[in-house]
Amino acid sequence: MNRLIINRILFYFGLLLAIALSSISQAAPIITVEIKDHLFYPSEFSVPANTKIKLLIINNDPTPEEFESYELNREKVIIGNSKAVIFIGPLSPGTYPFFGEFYPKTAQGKILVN
Amino acid sequence: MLPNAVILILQETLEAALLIGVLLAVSTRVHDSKRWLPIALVSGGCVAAILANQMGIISEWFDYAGQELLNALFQTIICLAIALAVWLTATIDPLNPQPGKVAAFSHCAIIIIFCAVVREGQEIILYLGGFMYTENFQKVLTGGALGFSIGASIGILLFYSLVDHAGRERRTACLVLLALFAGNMLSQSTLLLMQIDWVTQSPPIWNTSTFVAETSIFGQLLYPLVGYEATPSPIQAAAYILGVTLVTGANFMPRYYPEKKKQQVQPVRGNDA
Repeated sequence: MNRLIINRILFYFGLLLAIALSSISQAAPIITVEIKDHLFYPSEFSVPANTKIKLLIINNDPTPEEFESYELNREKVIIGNSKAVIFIGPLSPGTYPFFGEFYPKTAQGKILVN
Repeated sequence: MLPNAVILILQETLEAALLIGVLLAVSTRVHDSKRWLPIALVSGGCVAAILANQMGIISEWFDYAGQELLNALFQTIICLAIALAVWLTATIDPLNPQPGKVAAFSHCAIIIIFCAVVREGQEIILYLGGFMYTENFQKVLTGGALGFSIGASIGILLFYSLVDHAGRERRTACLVLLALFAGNMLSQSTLLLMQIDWVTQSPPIWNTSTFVAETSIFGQLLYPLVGYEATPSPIQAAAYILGVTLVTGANFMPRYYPEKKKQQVQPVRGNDA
């Protein structure tokens, strides 16, 4: 009997924790960046300082691309015609360049944190 | 197009090439067959091709965290296998190597190189695959071959410069390099967990980008060698220290806790003469 109650309490506690955790990760604002013809759209955008941001990168090209940034310490391959998620921040104010490692001549961009 | 292919393939090759160079130098001490190298290279290459082919599906695992989790897993395995290999080399008696331990060392070497090749190989395959049906394919392939050759040459150069040195110096150099590799792997894996928000990112503990920029040639060389990062976060630094400690600990542990040797009772023979 007691065990049943404890189990039930644990279950609701776990459920609450799961909701709390998922709401935390959902709290990060989403910014969508698209790749088309080896270019980033938008190639420049602003995000608030000291905030975690969820970058949704959609690769519209048939070829893979690698999102890379030394300043953000991020690196991720995005297959052709697919999307990827990268979390960045919280960041201090400044400019954070990023580029496509597979096509660095054209795929360039920067994030302005203010 | 060509210079970019050279740099990209060089970057990807360098890490595995350096690891192979150091492990080969270590293995000359334990007198094992070098069969682990072709086994690891071929199996790693095959698995890299399969993973590159399935990357679209893998990437979507765990709400778009599959790629990072898989790579973080490989990096953690590399770190642990390096620690095990170092522990084995520290306990193997070079004059009388125990076959069981030598075989175990070979298995560790296979695991380390396999994981390194899979990790870097899939990126190379994806990159080259993107150019497959374009007019630039030949150029990219030539550039890639050039980058690969430079990377392999640096690995060979490291091997010979390590082997050239006398026993003790070589052992120290190999240990330092392997410890830094292990630290680098573990620190990179925490970075990947931050990228998918499984580990919370905190502000960097320092910024040395004005000193040595990660984009500079020196920074590019330091990255695969010692895992140079201009703006590391505290968790990354902690993981780095943990990896280094694990490997150095594995090296010095046998010295303080020597294995119990089996009592060998030599039959006493009387001098008949």
